[in-house]
Amino acid sequence: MSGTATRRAFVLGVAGLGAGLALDACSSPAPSPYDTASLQTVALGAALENQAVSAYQAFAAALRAGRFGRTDPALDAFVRSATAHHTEHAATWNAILREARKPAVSGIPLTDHGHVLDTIAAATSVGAVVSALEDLENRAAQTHVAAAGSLHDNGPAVLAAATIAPVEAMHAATLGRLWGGRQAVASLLGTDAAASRRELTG
Amino acid sequence: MTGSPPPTPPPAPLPVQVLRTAAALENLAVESYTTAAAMPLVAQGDDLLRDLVVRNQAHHAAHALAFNHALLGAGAARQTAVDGRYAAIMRQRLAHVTDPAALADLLTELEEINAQTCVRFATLCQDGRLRSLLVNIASVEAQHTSHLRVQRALLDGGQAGPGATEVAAHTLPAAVGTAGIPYAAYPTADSSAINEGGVR
Repeated sequence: MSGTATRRAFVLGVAGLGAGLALDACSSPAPSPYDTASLQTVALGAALENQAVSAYQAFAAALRAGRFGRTDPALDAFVRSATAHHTEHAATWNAILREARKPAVSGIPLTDHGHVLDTIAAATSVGAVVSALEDLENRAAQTHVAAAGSLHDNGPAVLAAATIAPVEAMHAATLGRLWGGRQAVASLLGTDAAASRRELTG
Repeated sequence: MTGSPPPTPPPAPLPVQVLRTAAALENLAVESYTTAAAMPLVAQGDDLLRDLVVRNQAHHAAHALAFNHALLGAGAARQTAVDGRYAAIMRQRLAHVTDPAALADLLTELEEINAQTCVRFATLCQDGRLRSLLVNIASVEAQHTSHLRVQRALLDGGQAGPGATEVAAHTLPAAVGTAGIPYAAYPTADSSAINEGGVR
């Protein structure tokens, strides 16, 4: 029963959100669980996930091309799984934007994306790429931790932040453990490396 | 003589209940890792396993401190008890651990309960600072599970030691690469109820 009630409340909440945003132009605002800053935070989440997919795809292409010698089966499997995870995360963030009648983020509107791709393209070792990917994963995880605190309403966007942040953190920890030669994890993830909404270019 | 039962005290506010339960789980994790650290298979075993146990114990102590600090900030008493739901079973199972693989499995189970509880609680709270703290800590505990799972996978793969360097990693099977990242979205099915850590 409670599950039905929860789903019903969620559906009604989403319907209200969509209607509220659609009616903004008609000067009939309805209560919305998301303010502008929250929707930008969701868009930032989607952009970071697209960036991660792009970075892993660039790495996979380099591995296939033999740039780093023989491909490690464990690394190949990790790259495939992490790419799939980030693809799913992007879909989750974009579904929230669509429910809010906002355009999904299909590209990578981030100020630093060129630098990220340049770093991977210039890397001469697996370790150098792993280091760049760890940075991306940590930044995404910390951005989602910050989002969990800053989002206006504890609805689907907070659920996304809460369930995705630990996964990005696990990606970073596994990269560091298996290919970075590090077992270092801090007692708190922190938010110092979190991306800012100002880094969105679109 | 009959009488009315004593009045049931009103439940504590949700943030306090959540923090008490989360702190009790952290206290149990500290106790469990302390027990693990004293086991000969850890104390006299592989350096990396020992480092993992000592590091995670320290992290959980820091997490308990953070939750207790938040409790004090909310005007509530510190949580000094271990989680009542899992304490007895953890102690019993730890007493029967005889090898590193079984220890890694058991500690992974405990980390999962803690992390999933923090994730679930974050989705219930209105206070943004508390949500962020819970997700922050859940992420670290998820990282603990990654390292424990990698450790386990390396043991399964017959590696002499879990300290794979970049060169040695070229021989690792695919299963080791994905052992530490089992989820696309962190689950909450094993999370505790919010009131399990009630101060008695």
